[in-house]
Amino acid sequence: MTSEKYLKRAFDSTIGIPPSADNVLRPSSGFVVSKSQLEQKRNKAKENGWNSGPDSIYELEDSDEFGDGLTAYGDIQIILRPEIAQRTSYMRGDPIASGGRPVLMDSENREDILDAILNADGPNKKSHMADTVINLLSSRLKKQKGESISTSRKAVPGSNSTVKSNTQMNAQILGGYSASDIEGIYYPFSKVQKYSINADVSDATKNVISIDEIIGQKIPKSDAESLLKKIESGGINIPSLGALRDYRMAMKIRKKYVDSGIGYVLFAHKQGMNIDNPKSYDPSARGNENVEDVLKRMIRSEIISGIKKFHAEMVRAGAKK
Amino acid sequence: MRAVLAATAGRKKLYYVLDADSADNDGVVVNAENKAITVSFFSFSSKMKKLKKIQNTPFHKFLWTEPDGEIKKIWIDTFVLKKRPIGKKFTEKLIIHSQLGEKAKKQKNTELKVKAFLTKATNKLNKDIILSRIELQNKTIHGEKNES
Repeated sequence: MTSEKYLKRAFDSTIGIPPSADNVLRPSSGFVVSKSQLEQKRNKAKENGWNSGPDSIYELEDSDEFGDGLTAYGDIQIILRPEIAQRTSYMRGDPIASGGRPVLMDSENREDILDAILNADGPNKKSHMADTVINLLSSRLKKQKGESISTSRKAVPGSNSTVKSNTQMNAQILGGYSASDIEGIYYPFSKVQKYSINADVSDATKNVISIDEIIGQKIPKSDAESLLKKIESGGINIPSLGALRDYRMAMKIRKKYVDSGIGYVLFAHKQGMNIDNPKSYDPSARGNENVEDVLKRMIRSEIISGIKKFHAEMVRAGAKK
Repeated sequence: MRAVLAATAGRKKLYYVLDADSADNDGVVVNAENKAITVSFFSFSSKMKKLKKIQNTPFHKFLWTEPDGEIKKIWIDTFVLKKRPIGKKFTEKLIIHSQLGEKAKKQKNTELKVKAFLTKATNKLNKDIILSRIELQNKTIHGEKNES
């Protein structure tokens, strides 16, 4: 056995799992998101002018309201079915590092809840309690604008402290989980964007504008022909075409997971944007328009405005001569 | 920070932080995007299934071997409670990093620039020295000729 397994087993034995228990019987790890953590995240989004509505889902960040360091494990969030809570324990901080006492998720006993939140049982309990109190004070009390009470008294939690205000709520899922326990997934949109360069959007630039319409924008016929050729080949770089590429790749990823039996696939966005809502792209989107309709309309309008710009530049260049 | 590469998991690298405090996170994961993420070392390693552990130095062997018998207390004092510093004989042959991820890349770039600058400056200085020697030699030769 290796050292990390030794520590894991030592912790497991404190919660009643004997050292002889088979690996498959040992709990799987995860994290719990509390309502206040989600509220914090939405408040931050609101301050930044991002989507903070009930449909907002955010990508995990290295330093995150849901807990620092979660991104080290991966970026796709798996949401387990609510009934899994009955066999899941939780606690603030990491069980192995802090040695705290995990508490059943559906326990309403106030001592249990306090133990889970304060992490009061571990070997560094005094340090944890001090950090918890400091964090509580600094989040609730402000001495002056921009100055927290903790900094004013030089009593700050360590920079790498395991009990920061955004310490993750660790979850132990007893008996682990299988595919049938998964309710859905939150897939990071930034990951979609990495793959979307190969998404096919050639149909969106075909017949989007006619040669007569381009000529109608006072573009000479020969230039209009070469412009149309460029547009139809997809060789134009406009934001809405990029957005359509991202959206189509997202739908492809969603299909892959849903076909394999996952209940739903939603996309976590850095700014909480709901990519399935047409109004996220254009607030004036009509009720009968879907995302594809809105983006195709935007592509056409961006192309026309690009042509107008091209014409203005031609005029300016002509005037210089 | 003094960190030592301890294992890899796919494209992720796991470092052990030698000078972490007992209440601090003592691990750093550098991911495929070269981002350094602070974690609890043993907690992270216990959750990763495909961890390739480095075992070729006495330090790494000490780090990864199950603590048992007489060594158990020493191991826990060293790696869990951080009461006992890691002995010099364990660390003298290790590559110790003071920066990881993007910061390390920036530091390396700066070091390379400094090195390039110093090489250039030294080369220029050497060239100047050579030129002044030639000049001096010329002066001496011409001086001798004039005297004769």
